[in-house]
Amino acid sequence: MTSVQTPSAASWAAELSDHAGVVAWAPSGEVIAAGSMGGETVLFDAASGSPRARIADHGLGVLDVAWSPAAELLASAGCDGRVVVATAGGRPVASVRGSGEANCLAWSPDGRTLAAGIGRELVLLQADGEVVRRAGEQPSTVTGVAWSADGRRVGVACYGGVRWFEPSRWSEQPARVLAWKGSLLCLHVAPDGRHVASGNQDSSVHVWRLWSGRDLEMTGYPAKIDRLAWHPASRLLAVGGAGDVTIWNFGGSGPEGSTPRQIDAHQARIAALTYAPHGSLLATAAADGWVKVWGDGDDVPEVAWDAGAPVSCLSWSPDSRALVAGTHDGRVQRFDLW
Amino acid sequence: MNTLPKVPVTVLTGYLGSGKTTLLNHILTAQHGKRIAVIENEFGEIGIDDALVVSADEEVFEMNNGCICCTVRGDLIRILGTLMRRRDRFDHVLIETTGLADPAPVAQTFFVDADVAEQARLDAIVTLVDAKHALAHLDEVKPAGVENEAVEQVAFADRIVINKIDVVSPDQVDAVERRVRSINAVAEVVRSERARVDLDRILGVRAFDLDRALAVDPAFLLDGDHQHDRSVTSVGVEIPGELDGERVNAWFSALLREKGVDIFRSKGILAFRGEEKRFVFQGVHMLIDTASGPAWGEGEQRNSRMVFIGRNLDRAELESGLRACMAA
Repeated sequence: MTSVQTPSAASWAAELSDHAGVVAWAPSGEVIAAGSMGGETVLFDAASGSPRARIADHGLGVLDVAWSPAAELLASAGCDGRVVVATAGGRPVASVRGSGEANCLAWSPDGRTLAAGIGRELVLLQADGEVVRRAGEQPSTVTGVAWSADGRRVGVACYGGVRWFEPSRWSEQPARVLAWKGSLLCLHVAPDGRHVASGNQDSSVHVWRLWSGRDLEMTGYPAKIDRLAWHPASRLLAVGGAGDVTIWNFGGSGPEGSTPRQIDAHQARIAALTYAPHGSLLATAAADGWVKVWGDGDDVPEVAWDAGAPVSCLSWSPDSRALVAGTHDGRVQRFDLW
Repeated sequence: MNTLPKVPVTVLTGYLGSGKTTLLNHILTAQHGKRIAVIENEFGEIGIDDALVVSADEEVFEMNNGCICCTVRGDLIRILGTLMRRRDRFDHVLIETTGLADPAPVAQTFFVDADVAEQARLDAIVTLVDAKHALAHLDEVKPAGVENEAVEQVAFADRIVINKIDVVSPDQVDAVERRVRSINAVAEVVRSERARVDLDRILGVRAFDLDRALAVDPAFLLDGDHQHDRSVTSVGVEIPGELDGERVNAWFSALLREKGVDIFRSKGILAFRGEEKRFVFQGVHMLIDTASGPAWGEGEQRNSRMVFIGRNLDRAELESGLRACMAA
């Protein structure tokens, strides 16, 4: 990798009590949230890496964190079945509990409603923490939640497909079901709202056109798919595989019948995969200890950092100039691109 | 960078009232120095304060892989994934199934999910039976199409614990042992009072390791006491000489395609023409794990052995099928 720029070190490194499972850079750019398998969710100062506040303890581990689009509030979810909402200063605002693990979180585009998958239940909270809607008894544990781009519908990924609920015309029965026989593991709506993609236990990716329901499926992956990322312009869908990344082009006539771009990215299963908020840079990370940033064309990374331990999660700074990575040994590190 | 040893996982099954919770408590309080995590499905009378007990809701998923009996436990994939990420990875994980559970989805989870298989290994399926009620449960006639879960649990087992032997006569215990052996002739049978079992006999037994695929006493293969009227039985087949690899592959694939639903467990050690090493396999329904075993010795008599546990097995058909795969 002689052509690769390899910066020598992280700008800073902070520590959690155990495996860093999730990291999220606040839209304000000033704060980074990180959650560990030791149970704690901690806010770090993005500039210095110094801890600001410890906002929750989720028992056996933190499973997801999500900033509201206005960066005012952080939601944190974990194995204890709780979702905790706190301010960027670390002041708790609300807490809700369900039965089973709290697996996934998604704020509505306007930042006013938080959707959480807790066990087999979809729970909707207002920003002040008041629970406004609950839809229980989904066919399985909810593994992903995602809002339509217009914020009118929220989709729930579970066994058997994607179930869409309408908060403004509420019913505990889904308003729309995009059925597909299989176990869905994650759910991502394209930024332009035209497609929704799920990664699946049976080594496939399923994509539906919203709202015609027309669908297509990418199969033949060697293992389950639980890492997907849409390009900010919705043109590309990146799929994390056993070490390679495949990138499907949704521009022009769409991906059907096309050959995806394939990047031989890591020596281990892709653990994190995320497009920068601006531009076309794709960041990947894996248990091989590398964080890599890929450009549009070349199959050689623009930048690669050795994180010194297996990497589990990544998040871009809102200005697309830096990344924060979490590692199995519980470190949280900031890497600056330039 | 991922070179941590795989954590052994023991699956504990047994009909309602067979003593699973008592056995769990016994395991957790025994002085073995192991850090054990328990994934339980029946809300807990586990009375051990510092034990790590995670409650799971059985979520059985069918896989879209063309294999109709291929089901996995989605909840276990998530929970094992969470446990394996912790720094204090446990020395052993116990999974307690509900009294009515089919053990297949639990076992198949270890074949199907690469993350689980990379970090954990299925050590053994341990089935408890209650000496007093086992015969009634095992012989209960179910309506057509309904499984007798008690029979399935015995059929899948690597270890069968006949519990509560103190509340019945020795003759009754013998009768229960004969009955469970008529279903599963491969499993080791252990007897216990109040689930007090020597833990070395049920933990760390490596029953799914391929190098132990056929550490089986072949004596039962020739057992004339075979019960033809029982629908779930064990059949062992042994033939001397060498097999043709391609023929075996074709025959075995067809067998699993047609009978995979009925074949609960299979194991074997085969001699292929032109191969210096033994070929070993073990499977659950249609999912099969294979590997090269130890080399045959110089001048050693080569032979092949297979064991099946399942429903409506036809010994003659299996024997002639394997015989037809002899190398010409």
